[in-house]
Amino acid sequence: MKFRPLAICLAGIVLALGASAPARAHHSFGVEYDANKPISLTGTITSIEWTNPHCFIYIDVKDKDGKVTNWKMEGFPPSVLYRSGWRRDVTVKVGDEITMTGWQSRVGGPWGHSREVTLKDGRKFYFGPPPGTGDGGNAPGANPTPSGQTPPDAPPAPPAPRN
Amino acid sequence: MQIGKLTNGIVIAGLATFLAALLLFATAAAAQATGAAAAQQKGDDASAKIPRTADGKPDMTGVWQGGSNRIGTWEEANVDGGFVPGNVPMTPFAIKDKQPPPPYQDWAQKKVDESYARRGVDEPMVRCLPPGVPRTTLMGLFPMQIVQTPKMVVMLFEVFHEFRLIPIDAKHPDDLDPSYMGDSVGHWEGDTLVVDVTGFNDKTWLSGVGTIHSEKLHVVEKFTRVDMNTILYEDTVEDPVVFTGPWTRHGTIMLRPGTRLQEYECVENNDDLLRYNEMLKDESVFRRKQ
Repeated sequence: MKFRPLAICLAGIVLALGASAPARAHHSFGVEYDANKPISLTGTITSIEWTNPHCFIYIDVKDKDGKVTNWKMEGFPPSVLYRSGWRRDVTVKVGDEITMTGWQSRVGGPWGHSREVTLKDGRKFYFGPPPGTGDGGNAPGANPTPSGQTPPDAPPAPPAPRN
Repeated sequence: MQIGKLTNGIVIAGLATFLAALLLFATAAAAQATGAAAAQQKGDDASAKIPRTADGKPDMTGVWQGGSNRIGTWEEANVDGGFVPGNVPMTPFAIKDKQPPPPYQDWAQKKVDESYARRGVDEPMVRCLPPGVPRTTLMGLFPMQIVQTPKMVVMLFEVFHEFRLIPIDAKHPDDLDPSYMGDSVGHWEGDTLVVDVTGFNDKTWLSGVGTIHSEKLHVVEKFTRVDMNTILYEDTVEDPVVFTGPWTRHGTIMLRPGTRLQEYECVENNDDLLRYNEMLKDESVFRRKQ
């Protein structure tokens, strides 16, 4: 067999990255979402899907011209949100104004993966995991968002422990 | 020459530092290797404090989670399980930062690499199929519950509603139909529960993206509760169809007192499967460039 040190080394790196990364929920982030497209959206909740394998929050976001777009944002499943301090129909409700940070879908359009939700009273909750599967890119808040706003750099403290 | 002396000095100092680091590493590795055995010796503090069943075995009954050894809130324990380049991932294998890569045969390695290039779009879990053994055991984010009796150890996993029944001192049935979780039988070697698993189908991944296997998969797992909060986990994975030899890994499983297992009905609103099918119409949108 021909000795291919570079190929073996590269294969090793790929495996070290790909094979050792623990599974996050039930799918790869990187197929659908682009970690290089951080977004920050402020709007009004129009619908909440408290469902497996993922919860979704839909929000109406108004741009500077007054045009309203309904965004669909994916997050953790209910059991994980519950353990992180969320309560269904209590933490957020239809009609609430919130800010969501996350990453937009690879194909563009008004849907994405959300990392964090900030309520109007300033409380912050994690809604989904950070990007996984070796996609790289910037954390939300590290770069200006498409709307030109720059969300806070410092990540919020985790919610109080509740099991 | 002064610069030469300085350079030599730096080289010597560098060499000394390297050797010292090597010695430290070797010492630490030796300590890790003997840690589990030492913890099992009678009279050891940590081992003495762990709960034991009436027959004297370490009692693993309780709620646990893999994928993290960080005691804290659910968020703190699980936040960085996802891999971010430049950071060391929070591996499920907490006692070693780096695990050996699976020893794939060339043809199988190409399949793994292709799956990686496609960012795991062929992930079985996207279709709500169970991750199986050994993948589920060390999966982060979701808890597992162990119910231990003298004749049977039961493992319940929140994610995908998986369960494992591990009869003690039993033999595998000789009429096994291939399955996602395989067939498990266990026995005790001192304080270690050794579980032999066979009878798998070939529809799961072993660990991360694209880690395929065949129906010849054979897994031997060792569970050792070494202290109140920790089960040391070791698995040896054999598969003559895809591997060149056995693949052994080490990890830990962390106690999550107070955590209740909840429902995870994956097919309820599996939007991702629909979107994956949409994405597959043009792979260039998500395929890795390198």
